[in-house]
Amino acid sequence: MAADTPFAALLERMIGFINAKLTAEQRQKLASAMPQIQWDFPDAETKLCLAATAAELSVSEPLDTPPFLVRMARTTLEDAAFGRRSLGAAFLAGKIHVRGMNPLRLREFIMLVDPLLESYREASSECSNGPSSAVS
Amino acid sequence: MNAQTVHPRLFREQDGDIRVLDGSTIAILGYGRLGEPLALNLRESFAAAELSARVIVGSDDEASSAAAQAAGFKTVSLTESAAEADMALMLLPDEVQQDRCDGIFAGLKSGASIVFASGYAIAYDHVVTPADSDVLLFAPRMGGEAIRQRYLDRQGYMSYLGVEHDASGQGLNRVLALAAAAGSLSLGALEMTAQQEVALDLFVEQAFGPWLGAALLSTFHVGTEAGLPPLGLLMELYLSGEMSETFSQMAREGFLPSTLSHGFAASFGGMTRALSIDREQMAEQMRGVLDEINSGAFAEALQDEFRSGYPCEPFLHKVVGDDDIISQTERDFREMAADSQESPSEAR
Repeated sequence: MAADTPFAALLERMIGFINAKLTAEQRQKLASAMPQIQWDFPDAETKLCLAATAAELSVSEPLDTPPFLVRMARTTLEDAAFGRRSLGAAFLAGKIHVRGMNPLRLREFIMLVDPLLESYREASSECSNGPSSAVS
Repeated sequence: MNAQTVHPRLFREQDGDIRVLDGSTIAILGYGRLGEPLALNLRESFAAAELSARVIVGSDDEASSAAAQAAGFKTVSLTESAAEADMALMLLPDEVQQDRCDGIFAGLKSGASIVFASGYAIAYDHVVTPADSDVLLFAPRMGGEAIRQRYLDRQGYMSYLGVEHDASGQGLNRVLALAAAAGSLSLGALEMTAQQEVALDLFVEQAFGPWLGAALLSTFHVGTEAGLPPLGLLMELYLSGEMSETFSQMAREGFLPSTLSHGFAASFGGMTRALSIDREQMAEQMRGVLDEINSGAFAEALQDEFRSGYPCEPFLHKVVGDDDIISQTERDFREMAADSQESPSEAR
């Protein structure tokens, strides 16, 4: 795994991969349901604000009071991405804190979950092996 | 009784005469969690009363049709069964009814009654019913398995009933007869409109249910984090049955009296801790839920979910997958219980 790569950089790379996995229509849906999702990883002292538009997902400045916040440990994300423990199990165990989500727009959030985990794996792999192996 | 509060009417056994349905064909539209026990209860009640009313099943689902046939019911398609019915019980899932009911109701006999087991489709104007049909509500407040068991045990179960459209002038008598035959009236049925039924049902499911679930999960994970034994926590929460007995006691003796019946330490600890809970925050969240139910926003989201092929379903199933510590602990307990039954001496 990408032990030497800063976690924030890994997440940014992950977002690059997610962009390639979502269609413009999906991005548009995400943008209309939750234009900003802040991810807070306290153990890694890292915050990532994911901004969605129809054109792309990008990283924006973290917000003091994000409208939609997902907080979890970096290890929780990695356990889910590498199949060690599902996000569902982590959620049930209180390892994921979600605030501000509109439950009637769950569908749009779900659309993001698998691409996100897959993208995290790809970003990790790229950082371990160099860009060519992951991008190919 | 408080003179300021006007309660809905409560109907009991003496209010329903199942002979009203003599000679009728009752079609159970959908042989699932609710359809199966209601069909069985109705058939047995008619037989016990020596009535010539018959129960048929309408289903377009292969597995449900096979189950209904195996139980000895004449089973045809939804539209065919509706066409034969004097009374048609609409038991398809709420979100499905908007797309299916028009076709099913188009073939109804003139004057046939339509009974909904949920107010959802009526309250949100998802269905158009024939003007010459009674439109009735009979909504059991009990799961299907318990509906059947309580019927067999002659305990009855609570339900809501109502008349949304009384084309025959006999709507109330008909739905009371149905409730009696289905085994509800020995406990009681409250009169309720479809609008009230759906608001009550969805509100308690979506306001109280999640808080109860969240409280259970939080208790479990805070306790386990602090080193308390997972199995002990689940035992306290629900495995022992004490909690369900407490809820039964609330129903029998009253909510507040039941809080005082577990000894002083329990009521002192529980009630003092309750004071520190931010109930306004809880209430605010619940008001938001109710607003979305009343405005139709929740119903729109549910219909959208159905039309899109239930995209949230796999995710929700994944969340309640079995790789979590709660499910693992439950499995361990069941194995331990089975082992100790098999070899009681070793368990000692």
